Amino acid sequence: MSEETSFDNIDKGNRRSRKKREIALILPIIGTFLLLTPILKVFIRDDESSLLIPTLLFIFGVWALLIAAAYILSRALAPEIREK
Amino acid sequence: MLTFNIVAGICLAYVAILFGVAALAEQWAHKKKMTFLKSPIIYTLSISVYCTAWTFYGAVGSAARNGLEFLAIYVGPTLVFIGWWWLLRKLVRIGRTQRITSIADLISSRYGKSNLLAVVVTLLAVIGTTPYIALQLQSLTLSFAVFTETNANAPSPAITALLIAIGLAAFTVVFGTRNLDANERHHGVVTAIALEAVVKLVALLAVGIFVVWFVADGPKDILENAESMMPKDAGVFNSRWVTLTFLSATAIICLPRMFQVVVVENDAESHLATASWAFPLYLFLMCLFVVPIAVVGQEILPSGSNPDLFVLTVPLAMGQEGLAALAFLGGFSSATSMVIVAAIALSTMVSNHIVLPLWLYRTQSRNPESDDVRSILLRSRRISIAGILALGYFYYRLTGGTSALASIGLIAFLGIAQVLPALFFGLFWKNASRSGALAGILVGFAVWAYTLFLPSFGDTFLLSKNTIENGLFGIAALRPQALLGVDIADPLVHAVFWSMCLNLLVFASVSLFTSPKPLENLQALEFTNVFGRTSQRHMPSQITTSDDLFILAQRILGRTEAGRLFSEKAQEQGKPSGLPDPTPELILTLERELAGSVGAATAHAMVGQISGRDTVSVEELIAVADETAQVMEYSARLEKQSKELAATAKQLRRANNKLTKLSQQKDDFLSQVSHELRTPMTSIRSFSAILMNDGEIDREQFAHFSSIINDESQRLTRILDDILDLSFLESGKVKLNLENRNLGKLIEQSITASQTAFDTKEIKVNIPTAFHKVTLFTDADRLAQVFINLITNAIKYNDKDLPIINFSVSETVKTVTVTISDNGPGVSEADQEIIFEKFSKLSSGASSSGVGLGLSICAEIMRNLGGDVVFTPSKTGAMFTVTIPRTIKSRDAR
Repeated sequence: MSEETSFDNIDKGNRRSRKKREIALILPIIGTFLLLTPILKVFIRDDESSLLIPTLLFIFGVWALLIAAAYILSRALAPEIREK
Repeated sequence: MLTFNIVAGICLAYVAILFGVAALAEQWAHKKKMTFLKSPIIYTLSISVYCTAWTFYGAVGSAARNGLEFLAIYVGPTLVFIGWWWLLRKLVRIGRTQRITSIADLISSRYGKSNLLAVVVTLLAVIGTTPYIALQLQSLTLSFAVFTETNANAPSPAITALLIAIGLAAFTVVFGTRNLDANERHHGVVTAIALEAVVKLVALLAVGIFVVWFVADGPKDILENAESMMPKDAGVFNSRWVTLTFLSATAIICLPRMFQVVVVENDAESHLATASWAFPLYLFLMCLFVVPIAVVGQEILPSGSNPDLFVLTVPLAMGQEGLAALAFLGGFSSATSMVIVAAIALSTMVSNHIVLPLWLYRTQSRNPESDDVRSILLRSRRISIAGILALGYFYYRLTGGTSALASIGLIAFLGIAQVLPALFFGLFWKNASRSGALAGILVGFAVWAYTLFLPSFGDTFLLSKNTIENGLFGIAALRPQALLGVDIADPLVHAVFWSMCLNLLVFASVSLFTSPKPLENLQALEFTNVFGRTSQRHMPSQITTSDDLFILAQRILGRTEAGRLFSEKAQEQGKPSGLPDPTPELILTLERELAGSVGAATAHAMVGQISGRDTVSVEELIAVADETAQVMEYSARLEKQSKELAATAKQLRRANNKLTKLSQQKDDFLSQVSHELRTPMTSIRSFSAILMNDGEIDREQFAHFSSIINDESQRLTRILDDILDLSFLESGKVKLNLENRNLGKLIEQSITASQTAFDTKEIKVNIPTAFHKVTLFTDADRLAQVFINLITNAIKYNDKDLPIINFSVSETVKTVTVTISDNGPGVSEADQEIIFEKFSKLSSGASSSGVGLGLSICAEIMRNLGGDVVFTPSKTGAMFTVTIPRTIKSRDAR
């Protein structure tokens, strides 16, 4: 392997770990956006029937997705902690 | 039938199991069998101490009354944990590097190890936590009361609460103050808490599954009924929802018990990675069945039943006593784990930041070595635990059953949230100062007390009804629940808005307008750059001895621990036995170790007292503060130096090549010179030897030999003259006689001079008239020498009967170029390259008296005159081009 390609690999590795860290920052922001703003009202018609059930399902759905995303992210970030 | 006695028996058995687990864990920890205790699962489960009885029972009650609002309490922590990489990881790293023992310790350590700040935060934590402990006692007695309604012999709620409080205090004292761990970790307690976490989750899930699949007809049935049973307004995505989420997110960091389990009890950062998804998952599961239980509870229980106890009363109403007992244990676990951890966290704060500094201050004059700091610390912690539980109990007795206690959970959240700005900005903002933090916390705390805490008692405590309605002194702008006329309907949202805004404002502006003390600057850098390089602190030499330090370490860490630390350090310093030298590094390590037991401020004060140093020198400060700048400057300098080195190396290489070449040239030159000198010398010597030895030599021969000697001598002289001339020219020391001279005249003179040497030969010279119009400012004699040389060569080597020499001239602004061509044999291609070299006699060279220095001298003269002479290849004969500057400039002249 030539010197240049190994430098390329290091650069790629850095870029990948930086991206992971950026995702770690974006995930709670997305969570905040979905769970704290009335964004749900964009998706459902606001008629007289109660919004309780759709809201309940929406919150639990987003919550479950966030947990799944956090699981994947923590698996991706764990090696970076161990390296240190 | 579950009677009070059976329930009490189950409780005691459960507590006995907890004792056993905690004892076993302590034993394992002692034997270093830590793999299980240090697993991320235990860590995650211990964080669930967040879910207290208030959430275990209260979430269902809240869902029945206020819809989905309760979810906000779990959404906040979820968001904080999935963003762990940016905030929690930094907190944990700081907690480990700075040996942080509590939230008060963290704030104090960040702002220059200020004990005043530690005291303020400790008091705030006690004020914020006491009602919360009372709340746990209340929910425990309420859940007990469920079983005592039918039993007249059961003890009154007051007695139940007292017994519970005493039991909890005993457990906490036994496992929370067993030792003074250098890092304030309590493996026994944490393991017991983890077990309790499992129990409460299993209990709630069991009740939920029972309710959904055994009482109702599955999730579909529940959802259909939810529409009618739950409040019309879902209670989400409004200002209260955002406020609650903010408060709960703050609570997961700032509540003393949460800080204890998340930061202080953390064993490895990688555990945080697991907790980042596992803890939100735990919360998710805790919430999953809250709505179904609320819906079913309202369906099957008579109206007017307390929804806060549905988790317990629904199984009881359905005759499921085993399930009810499990639910009861879940609630019991929630309450006890909260109280235990809170009591440990608070007792650590109280003993480290209030009792110990006071004791140190009091004993300053006495002989401190006779007292054992360790026993003081342990005793003060035990007393603090008892005191905190007593406070909680009295608070419960005073307000129990009133609405003041029911709503205290969120109120307490906001009280402790006042440390958030100082904590959060302390991690990221270097200029956040001690004064700013103190002012911000105090202002926020005052606003919280005035707008939320005191009004929560109604008109029973400090604030009169008139003040609440019309403002302090009747000033409308000071109405506690509508400050400055800002009318926010929800008092909680109102209080959060004002207290956090004013807290932040005061914190930021005071920080900007005060200059921090040196130690604050140091700590600020240590905190904000915790992921950067660990700074090497340079401290001035200390006036202290290792004995003093060892005594101090013994008093706090204990004999074995101190011995281990000091022998380790001695070995590091290369000493086989005895105490290590009191180096700054030793003092710093010791201070860190002590901070793990008594907090940063106290440790700093203690070590400072002994080492006679509690200030930071300016040099040390500059060294640390300028570290980044220095590193950058250093690397820039390195880069520049390496560039310079590369350039120098290149120059050196070039110079070396040149030197090698010159040395080679010199060798060649010397051997050629010797050779050239040797030939005439040999002739002279042999002929003079003949003349000297042969007496019978005739006159004619004598004349012949003498003329040979004479000729060779003259040739020798000429060669030497040429060599001298050449070396003189090459050295550049030749002095030029500059004058104006007509070029035409100069060339005519040269031709005349050349012709004298060949007067027998007839030659033809063509000189254009243009030459006579050109005037040069130069050394005319030297220039003439060049022309004479060239003309002589043209005649000498010419094999034609009539040698013809053509001159031509061309001019530019600065130079005049003279071309001299002849009709001779020319120069062979191979010889063209070497004709200007010294001693270069050409291969085709006809007999000549020269030694091959003529053209070298021409080239050197032209170099000295700032021009040059080159051979120009041509078809007919040889052609030389001489370029002469019109006016010689000093820098051209060499």
